[in-house]
Amino acid sequence: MGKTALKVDDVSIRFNLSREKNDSLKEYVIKFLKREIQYDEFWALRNISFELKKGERLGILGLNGAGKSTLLKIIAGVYKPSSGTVERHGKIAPLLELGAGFDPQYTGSENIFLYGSVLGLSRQFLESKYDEIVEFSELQKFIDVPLKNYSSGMKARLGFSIATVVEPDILILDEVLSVGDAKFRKKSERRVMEMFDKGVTVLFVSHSLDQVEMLCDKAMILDHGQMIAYGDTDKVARVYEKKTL
Amino acid sequence: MVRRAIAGFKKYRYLLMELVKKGITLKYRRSYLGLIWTLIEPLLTMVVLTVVFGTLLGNKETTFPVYILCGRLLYSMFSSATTGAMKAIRANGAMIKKVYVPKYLYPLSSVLFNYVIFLLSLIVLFVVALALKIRPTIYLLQGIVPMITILLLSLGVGMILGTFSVFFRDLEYLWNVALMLIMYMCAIFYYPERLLTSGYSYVLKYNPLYCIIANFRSAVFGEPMNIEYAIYAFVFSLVSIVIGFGVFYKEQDKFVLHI
Amino acid sequence: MGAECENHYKKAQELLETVQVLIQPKDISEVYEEAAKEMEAAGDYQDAQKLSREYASKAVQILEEGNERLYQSACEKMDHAVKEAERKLAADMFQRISGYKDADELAMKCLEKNSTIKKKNTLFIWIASAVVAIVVIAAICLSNQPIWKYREAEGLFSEEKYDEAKNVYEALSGYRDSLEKAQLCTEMKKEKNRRRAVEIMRKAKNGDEVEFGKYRWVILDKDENSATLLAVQVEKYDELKAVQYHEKNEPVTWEESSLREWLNSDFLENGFNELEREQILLTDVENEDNEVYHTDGGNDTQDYVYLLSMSEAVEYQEMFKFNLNWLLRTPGNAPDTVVYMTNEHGIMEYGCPVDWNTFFIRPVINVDLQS
Repeated sequence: MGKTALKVDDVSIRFNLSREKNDSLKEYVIKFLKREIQYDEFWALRNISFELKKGERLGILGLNGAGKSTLLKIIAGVYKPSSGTVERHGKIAPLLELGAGFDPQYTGSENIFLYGSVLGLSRQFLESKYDEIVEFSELQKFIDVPLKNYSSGMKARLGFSIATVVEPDILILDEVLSVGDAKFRKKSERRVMEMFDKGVTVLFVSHSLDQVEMLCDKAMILDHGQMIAYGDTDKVARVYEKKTL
Repeated sequence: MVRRAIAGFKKYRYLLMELVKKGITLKYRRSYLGLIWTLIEPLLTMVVLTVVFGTLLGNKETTFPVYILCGRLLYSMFSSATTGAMKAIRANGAMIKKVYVPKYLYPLSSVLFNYVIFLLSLIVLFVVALALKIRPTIYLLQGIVPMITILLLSLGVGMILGTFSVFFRDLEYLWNVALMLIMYMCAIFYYPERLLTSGYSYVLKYNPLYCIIANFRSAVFGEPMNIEYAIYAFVFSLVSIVIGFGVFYKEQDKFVLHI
Repeated sequence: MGAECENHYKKAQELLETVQVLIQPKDISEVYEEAAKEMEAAGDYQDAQKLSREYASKAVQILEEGNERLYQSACEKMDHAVKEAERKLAADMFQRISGYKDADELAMKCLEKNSTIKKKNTLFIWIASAVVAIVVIAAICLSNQPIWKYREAEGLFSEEKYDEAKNVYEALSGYRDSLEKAQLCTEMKKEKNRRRAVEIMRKAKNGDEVEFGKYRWVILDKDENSATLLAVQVEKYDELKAVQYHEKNEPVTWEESSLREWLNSDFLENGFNELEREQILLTDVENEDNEVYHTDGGNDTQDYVYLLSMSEAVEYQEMFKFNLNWLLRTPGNAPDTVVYMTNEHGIMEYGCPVDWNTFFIRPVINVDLQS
């Protein structure tokens, strides 16, 4: 058995949908005095527990609103669960929300260092990988242009190139592999496969059963915030098919 | 917990540097003169204030421009650092919602980049002081104390503001007004003697920013600094940092739900 | 017929394979139910009927076990709950098995506990605020107690700020010994002023102007023991204006003049306080004859306050300006005249009648610099 890469232990998270956001001090005080601070609450995730060993590849399936992106955000550390814990061993590279941290006024080149440091990379490391990043993104001509002048595809390519230069222990993917033209898509698929071959642990979120069956050895189904199924991909696939009929 | 915090800081120290760099680089990117504005802006303010409060209102001391500049530079730094820290979480909301980064880096980087700009503007002070024949004395070294204290004070107050302004946007307007009030209570463009001997001396003496400015002026003008002021301002700053970071850590998990 | 049964049998087995990956007891139970139905439809194929009954009872069993397990976890969560969110989660878990045992009551218990804690916290906040408010009000009230003002005045007193201390003491109108302290301040202030004036005189040189008593003086001569002072700016004072040397127009010397008496009594009393008077030296005054007209100057005297003589005026002429017209103490051409100074012509040795009141006087004193 390998070492644990990720352990999610009885994680639940509850959100307050206050009817209006209490943004101003005046509204808050009035509501407090009138005891009107009501929160519509709902549990986005309940009692989620699973464990990923190093090198395993887990696919996360679920209909819209099932809580997939919430779970990913909890694993990435963006949200803190209301109950339960997440244990991470190793560096996480979220290959989703590419370019979080890009500043539109900064040039592509400056953003490489900014986004790279958001991912926890040192300037030295980024300088050594700079040419590789620029080449992979195919943005040599535009690398000194401010990001606000980039198309969304260009931004995604740049983000992808930077993020995949990280050598992570845990990779979180969603349907990010469908960005760019066919040539770029092939390149990015190949790069992700290279990472797989290196034995990286993968969390893959998808609607597409085919992709999950192709890439993952384990799968999980989320429905209305609860885990419905977890286990070998082929068996879980059958459950999923039945559910989505 | 402390070890985790230190480890976290070590991991993201490059991000901190990048954020500070970004603040400075982007501050004047679109303008023609760019970074030179950090030197020109205090100079112009000094000229205006000297003319208004010096010549027009009768303060004819030749060293008055330097007197003004000392107070003005420190106040400016405090003002922009705290305002920047206050807005930092909201300004970086998009990033906070997508990727994990220790959130205190945002207000911290804002304070730091304003501090760097303050250090640059000290060049102007240096030049003007020499031009007005103010010689540096050994007391100049005492200036280190107010310079460190202003950084701590801005950070502490900035963290407190940063935390609460996420939940109450009005704070931004309130703080604007408060800053104006503070400016008048710092004796930047008037001499404090009359106020100190009247019954209202507490207005100045209990304002930590005034204490910092007074000691900085003493260092520049070659007088020994007031130890009481230094201790008061330093303790005040440390307390504000403890409260600021404490309150920030307690509430930071809720930020993402409000931005 | 047989093939169909076999299909059902196989289908049931297939269904059961997915049970491995299912998690929710409800889903697993459903699968067993379906499998049971398929087995039933498989008729006599192999052990279909046996399995059918097995699966049917398993379906019920799983459901119950599931409920029990959830019940246990919910209880554990409730017992170990620390945060409000954990109790809410426990309540939610109980609500999911609503109807099973006392799940509903326990759910209510969790929620109630949350609201009690919330009420306790609110109460605590109200009490804390009340305490803070009381402390603040008490502090404000206490700080208005006279004792603090008294201490403040004592502080000012020790810093030699006698005027401010006196104001604070007087505002205390009789608290403890504040009235006496106020008077003490007046005394101390006089002493302080006297000391300051003497300090200034010690450091000053001939020709400098100093203040002493009510008036302003120029230093004619000084050494480490004493200083000779001549009054300046005398036009400001009515009592030094239009003064007669002597009340009656008769022969008189400095010794007998009414001016000498006035200067050494009323003038001394009104122009200086006791401490200052103690500072003024009793000087041996030489009253010379008039150089030019040889009129008798009279006996030598011992005075606290006197005027300059003709020779002294010459000796010290660089120290003072010649403005105004003022009297000296040397007699003029006749015993009923006295010499005076003018700004245009200096010393008028001929003199003027002693009862003329057209001139100023510029008193002279010697101040002790040693005490």
